[in-house]
Amino acid sequence: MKGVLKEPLLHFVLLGGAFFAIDAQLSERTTQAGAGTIVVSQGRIENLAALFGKTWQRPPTTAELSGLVDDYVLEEALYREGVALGVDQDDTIIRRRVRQKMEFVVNDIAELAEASEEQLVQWLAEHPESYTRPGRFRFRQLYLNPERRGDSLPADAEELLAELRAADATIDPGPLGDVSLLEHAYPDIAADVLERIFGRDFARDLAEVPTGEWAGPIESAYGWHLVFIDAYTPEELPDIDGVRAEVERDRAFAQRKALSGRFYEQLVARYEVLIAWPESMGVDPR
Amino acid sequence: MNMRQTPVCASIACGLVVLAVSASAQDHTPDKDAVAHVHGKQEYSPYAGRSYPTRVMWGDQHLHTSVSVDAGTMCTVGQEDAYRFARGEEVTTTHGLRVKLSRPLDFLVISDHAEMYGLMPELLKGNPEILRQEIGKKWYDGLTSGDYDQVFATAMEIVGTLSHKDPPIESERIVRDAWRRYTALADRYNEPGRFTALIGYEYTTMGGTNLHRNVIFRDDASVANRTVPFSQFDSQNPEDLWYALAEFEKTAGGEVIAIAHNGNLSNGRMFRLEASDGTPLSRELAELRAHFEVLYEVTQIKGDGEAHPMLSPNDEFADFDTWDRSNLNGTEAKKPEMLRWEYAREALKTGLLIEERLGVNPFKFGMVGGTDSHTALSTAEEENFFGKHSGVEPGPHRWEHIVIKAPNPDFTVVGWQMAAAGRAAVWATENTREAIFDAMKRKEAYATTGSRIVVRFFGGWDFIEEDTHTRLPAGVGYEKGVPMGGDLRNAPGGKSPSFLVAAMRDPYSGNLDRIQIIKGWMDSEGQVHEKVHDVVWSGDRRPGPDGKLPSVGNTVDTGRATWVNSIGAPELITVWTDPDFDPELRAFYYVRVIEIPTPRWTAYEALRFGIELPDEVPLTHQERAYTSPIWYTPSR
Repeated sequence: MKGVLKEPLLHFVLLGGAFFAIDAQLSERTTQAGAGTIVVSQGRIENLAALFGKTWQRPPTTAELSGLVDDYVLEEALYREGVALGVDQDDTIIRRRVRQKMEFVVNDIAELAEASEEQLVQWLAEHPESYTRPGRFRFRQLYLNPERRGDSLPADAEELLAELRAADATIDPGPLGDVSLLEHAYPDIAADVLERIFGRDFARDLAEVPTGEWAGPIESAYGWHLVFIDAYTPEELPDIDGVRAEVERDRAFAQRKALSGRFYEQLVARYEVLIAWPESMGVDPR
Repeated sequence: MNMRQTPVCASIACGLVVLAVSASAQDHTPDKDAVAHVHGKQEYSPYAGRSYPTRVMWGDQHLHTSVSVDAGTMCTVGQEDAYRFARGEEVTTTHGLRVKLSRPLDFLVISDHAEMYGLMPELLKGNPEILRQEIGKKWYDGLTSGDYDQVFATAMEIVGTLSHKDPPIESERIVRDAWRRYTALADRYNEPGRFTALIGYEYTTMGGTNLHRNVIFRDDASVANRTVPFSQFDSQNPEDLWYALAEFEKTAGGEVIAIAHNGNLSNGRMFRLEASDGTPLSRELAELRAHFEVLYEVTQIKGDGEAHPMLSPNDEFADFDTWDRSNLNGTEAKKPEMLRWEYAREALKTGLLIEERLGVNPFKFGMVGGTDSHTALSTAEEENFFGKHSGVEPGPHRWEHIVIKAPNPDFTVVGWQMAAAGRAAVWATENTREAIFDAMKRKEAYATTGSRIVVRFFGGWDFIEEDTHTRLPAGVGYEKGVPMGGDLRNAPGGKSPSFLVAAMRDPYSGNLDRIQIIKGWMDSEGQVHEKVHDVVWSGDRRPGPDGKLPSVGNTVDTGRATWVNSIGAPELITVWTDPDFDPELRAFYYVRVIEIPTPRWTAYEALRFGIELPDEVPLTHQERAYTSPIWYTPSR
């Protein structure tokens, strides 16, 4: 993103293109006061006829159609003169409608941009947090229910830890712990998913535990846990080949948002903006 | 709005809570023999043999964005933001607030309305193909008027056309293009193992009486693009939807399901004995419904549809976020005799009647929840609830703001009546489209009113008390029985079905009050019945002479919108055997888990904006989970 926005020439081209495209879209509606040409296209006349047909359930006669066209020409002339006189400027309804239409046009234009390989790599480098794969655990746990064990919880935990450390390293701890819907053995679980199951901070605490030995207790939303990590794959940032589709998607998304924002900034920058803050409002104009 | 005030209790400080089974006194202290025993089995791997689902996937199968013709009138948040929000990212609401979920969802179905799919953004853009049509021009003028009342009136008019037989605007090409843009977007956001974007849409027939269905695809865009959303302009008869879906499955080779919702607003039309034209239901139609409608959305913002207090007068928990004054748009008053054909529990009973007659049960559905939000934001948490539609967002007047305007003011629905619900929980083996769809298809799924309560439910013939002491309830559950959504047949001589049920509280929400098993059955006279059994509960409460279990209590401080988990239990487990079983009678059993009282969203709203709410507005409630049933069918 930064790559695009820091490049003034590209900017100019994009924004120029945008204005051009808007012009093209609105060309049928180009407004000029006084002399000039009012074109009533074949398509426009067909639209007028169709609209009449929808209302009256029959096609217009030649005279009626001619009247519609005359009315359209008058509307267009009045519209242009009106705009030139500025009568639209204080009309909230007209202003909002024009604004909304412009916003849609701008959004459509932002779709045009496409990313190069270099830009994708750069995006990945600038947003590592979005693509870093969380750490993954292969671990076993023994659950101790504090409500059930009451005051003996710390002593039980200590004693069980000693038992587990003395046992074979591949022990299934389940039969020694308390009843719970939590699994005893998670063969491969991501840190973020783990937090959703066990509650806040559980994965963070688990990541502190050394691999290959019984440790704990660590606390979850449900109680205490003695844990044995068989394997831990630390979080890692894949290279672009591992996340290309995501990066393309996210960069395009961000670009559409940023480009419209940037476009509006540039648009406003074409004007000298003078704001007369009433003193009573206490706003510092600087 | 990413603030939380949940007093997540440090588990040790939670006070004394007893699992109901603990009284039966298995030894919970370290057991050296057990250690030695396990120690001896060196070949045993604790990781081996878990082919069953070990983690429940949380999601929403019902969400609208600006692409929906009605939502699009007020909501400017689109499908892409909806995905990003569900994945846990912060987005901006229509009114400019920043919003984020406390926890991401595992899956999402964006189910925009089939009718005039994708038309609204084009309309607002001023697409000439639409503006040349008179009604398009009128709507455009109304929606862009800048006047709130006129925008709302136009929005209501647009919603109204969803009940018309013919499309008010010709938009075939727009619909096709928008559908393809959507399926491509879903494919881009679908990341197997991390986030699932199932493709779907809502068939919104008979807008006023809400015979709507969410259609969900198993496959990707390449298959979904072989069709376009089937809309009520194709047919207002849901039976024709089933025929169309059957044709799609046959010709396109894909798989789909359809999930109905809000029978509570159908005024007696959702679960009837007859076909839609009033003739006796044919076996063919019953089979089609049973094939596609494997799940029902039992709870959502527009009211809870599990049970109704008039149908279940002995069920003290039946009256929960009840919307029963009229049909959806308030054009037809509710009559008591309509209720029987609207609520899930009653429909499950009606299904037994039909099965007796036709040999097929068209209402053999499991349960899920959904939000049906029209904000592109799937929010179902009380302290982070963004409501039904974008006309109004959190603020001092939301509670009294009109949500649905009816011709009769008595039927108009205002803000506080909205329920901050619900969620779909799915026991899928992995977080992929295929695994989640397949779990939905086998009904291994359940609904919650928003909180993430974990529930296991198994039925069989051999569950015994000792099974509750196994440290791995799911292991013994799958070994000895069938999970929720399953079937029991062929009762072994003299045996009654037994059920292993366990629940664990949402780590971020309230403790559990109780687990109930609801049984429905048909007697030999062809009458249907129901009974609610409290099967396990927190603390040492004893049922009174009337058989009722005393209330769990209430720790909610409504003024501060807080509660403490000093009552209730973090986990409950039991085995329950049906005491009244008759092997000759059809029956079903499902589980309802009740949380302790916690603040309702209205309490958070009152606190945040410093407002006094009238007495009629509830400030506390007991969230719950409803599982899919297990059915018993006699062999004859």
